[in-house]
Amino acid sequence: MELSLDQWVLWRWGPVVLNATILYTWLVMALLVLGSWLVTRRLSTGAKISPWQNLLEVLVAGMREQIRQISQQDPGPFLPFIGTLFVFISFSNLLTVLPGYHPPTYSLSTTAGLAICVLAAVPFYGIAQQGVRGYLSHYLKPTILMLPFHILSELTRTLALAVRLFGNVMSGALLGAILLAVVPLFFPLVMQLLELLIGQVQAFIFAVLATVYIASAAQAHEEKREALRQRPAEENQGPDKSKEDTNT
Amino acid sequence: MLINWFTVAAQIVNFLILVALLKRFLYGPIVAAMTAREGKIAAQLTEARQKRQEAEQEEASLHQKIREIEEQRQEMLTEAGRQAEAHKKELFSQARQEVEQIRQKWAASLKREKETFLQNLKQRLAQEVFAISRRTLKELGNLELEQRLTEVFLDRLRQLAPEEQTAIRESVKEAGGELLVTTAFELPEETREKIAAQVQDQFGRDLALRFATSGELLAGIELLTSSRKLAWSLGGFLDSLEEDLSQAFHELEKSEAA
Repeated sequence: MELSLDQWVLWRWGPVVLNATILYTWLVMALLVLGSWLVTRRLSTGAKISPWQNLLEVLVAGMREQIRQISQQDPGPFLPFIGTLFVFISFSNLLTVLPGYHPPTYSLSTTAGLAICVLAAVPFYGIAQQGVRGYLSHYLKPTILMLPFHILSELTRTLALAVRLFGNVMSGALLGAILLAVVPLFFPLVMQLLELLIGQVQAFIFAVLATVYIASAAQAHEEKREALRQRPAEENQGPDKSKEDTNT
Repeated sequence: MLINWFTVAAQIVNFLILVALLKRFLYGPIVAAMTAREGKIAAQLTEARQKRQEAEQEEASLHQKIREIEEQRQEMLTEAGRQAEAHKKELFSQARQEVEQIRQKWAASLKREKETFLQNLKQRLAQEVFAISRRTLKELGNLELEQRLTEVFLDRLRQLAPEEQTAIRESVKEAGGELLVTTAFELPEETREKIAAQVQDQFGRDLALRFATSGELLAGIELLTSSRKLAWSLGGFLDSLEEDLSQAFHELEKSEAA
């Protein structure tokens, strides 16, 4: 049992390495894209839809709803990024039911790559929503003294994301292997099922945390716009309404 | 070494590619399909609501029409009843008028018959009396009756009240001193002179007397000025008889009407 899939090298040319992690990632990507393409090439907008379309619609609608609830914003811009995070991790972990398959998330490199993507996505969405100045001013609040702490917070939470996912997936796989050695029958199967559940939970947690980080960066601008939108309404509706708003 | 940085970079690239691919093949089409379906459903709901509204309006207008028709029906019934009542009244009054007309006609014809009867009766009576008189006159002999009639007339003239005599005298003067003596028969010269002497004696010497005959008198003698008449004739008697008969019929009618 290898500790890291990265060291399972299949092909090497100078610094370019094709290892198991990348290979399995491609496999997952191929399956996802192929499956999506097969389903979405014949979409129905009527009342009758195919079961696969129904499944994908449930998935997409569920993700949109989750993003909307967590971020309190329109899920449209976030969906491709966060949705892909969830679908990729979830599907990677789900495929562990296949023998001989190792999830790419079993490699710290993969989880680190995903975490770095989140790290980059936070300023990306923040700047897209608030502009460069608006986003950067966020680091200087409430005083300039807080700047190092903000930066530290960004880095540590990225590291935490990567390690949390990797740790959970790896522990599950290791636990399965160890239990297989200790209690050969039945019990590892239950643990495997538990592991599937944990894999899905981890995918959910990763996606939710990414949403929270990105949404909090994009929030300030949204709040300002919300305030602007509500001011005339308050003037029209009197003081009672504003009290309600501050409560909520 | 747990982290292979080349792998990390490769995974980042892989992930970004996957994001792009899934956006192209999964989220885009699915979201578009869902939006399209939501739009369709919303459109259908709007259409359904519109149709329902239209149906409700239609229903309301139909209800209104039914109510109007019912009102019109009631109005027509009332109108028809009123007209029937009016027509009935009219027919009744027409019938009453007709009955009244028939009654009036009947009354008129009755009256006419009565009058005709009276007329006939009067003529018959007169004829009878005339006939009797003539027979009597024939049988009694001319001279004597004339004599008697003239004597009676002169007697009456003599016994005339003084105020009447004065009145006759006045009216003779007004008529230019002319007196008309009418008799039923041609009087003999002797009798005429006797009458003239008597009249001139009573009403003045310068009177001019004119003698005439008239069948209407039947029998008798009449003295006429322009405004006065002194007569003794069977015609006068017949007139008063006619008056008496007429009076009797009137009383009969009154008792019938009562």
